[in-house]
Amino acid sequence: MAGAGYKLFSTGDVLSASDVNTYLQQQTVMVFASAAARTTALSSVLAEGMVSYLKDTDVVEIYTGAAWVSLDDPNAIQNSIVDAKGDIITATADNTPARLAIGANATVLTADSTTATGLKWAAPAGGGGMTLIATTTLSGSSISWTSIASTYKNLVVVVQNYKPATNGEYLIGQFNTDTGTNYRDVAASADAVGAADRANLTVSFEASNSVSNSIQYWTIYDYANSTTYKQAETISWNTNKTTTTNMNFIRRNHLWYSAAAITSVQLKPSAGNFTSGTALLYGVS
Amino acid sequence: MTKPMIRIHDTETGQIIDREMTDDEFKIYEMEQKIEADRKAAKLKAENDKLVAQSKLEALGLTIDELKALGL
Repeated sequence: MAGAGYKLFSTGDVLSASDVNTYLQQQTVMVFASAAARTTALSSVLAEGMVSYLKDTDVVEIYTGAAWVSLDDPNAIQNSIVDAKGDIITATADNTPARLAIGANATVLTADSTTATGLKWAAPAGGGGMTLIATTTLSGSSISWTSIASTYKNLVVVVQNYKPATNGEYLIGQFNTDTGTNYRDVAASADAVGAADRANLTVSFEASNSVSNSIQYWTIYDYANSTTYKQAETISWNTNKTTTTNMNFIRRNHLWYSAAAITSVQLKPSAGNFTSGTALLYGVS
Repeated sequence: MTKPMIRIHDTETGQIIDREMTDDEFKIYEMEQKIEADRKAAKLKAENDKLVAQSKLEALGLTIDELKALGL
């Protein structure tokens, strides 16, 4: 049977059918349980050109006269070409396979003729997109998003089901914890708007504290620049404070009279605490 | 006296901290609350003044359209 190993025949030995079947026909390639078993069996008869198959590793090897080496099929890509999760196999030239390691998260495979493989992992170019930066449950008297990265073009805030603890309190916002009178709201178009007249930007109408189907959507434009005043636009639907089957709608534009880059955004009811609601902060590329 | 709680969500680390306002934050909070209360009181007073004025008009047998006709 295959795997019997090697038999040394001596002068005068009878060559039986079993010997032929076992040691010749079935072992054109000698089969061993492991490299250790092969070493034991062939310790005194090793010869260059011997071929073996190791059952434990499923590897065919050839003895070079000095060592056992794997057969390298020139038409097969060897397992060893890849080293880690995410590696891909590409080529550097005709008949020349090569490994390309996985790129950073969220990068995409991009053609680049200047690299050895003609490929690279790169951030997706153009097209834009929204990245969810934070999801925060409305709680206490305010919530603040801090350390906002400056890597996006705009910020978008979505407030879902805002409900104040006190009936009739509307949703307001501030930037960089600026509580000074540095904000101005305009509900429609307006000429010759004067100086800032508010200490916050007012997002919603007076909201119900018993039912909330409210939704507010803000866009804060070019928030990271440090040379211009900052503008925001808010669109708000909130449950009417008196008749909770009714909704109030308002769309406003806001100006923050500050050239500072926005690094934090605060949301709060006009008085008292939040009861519930969720706020999501997105970065827009 | 317990001060109001605030929630701070660090978007860089993802850490969310709920804590009481500091003394300075509380001073600003109280100032904002007073401004808001004053605004509401002014709004309520304006609404009441309007109702009183309308009642007086009705007592005189006048309507708002008649006042407008007089150029008032």
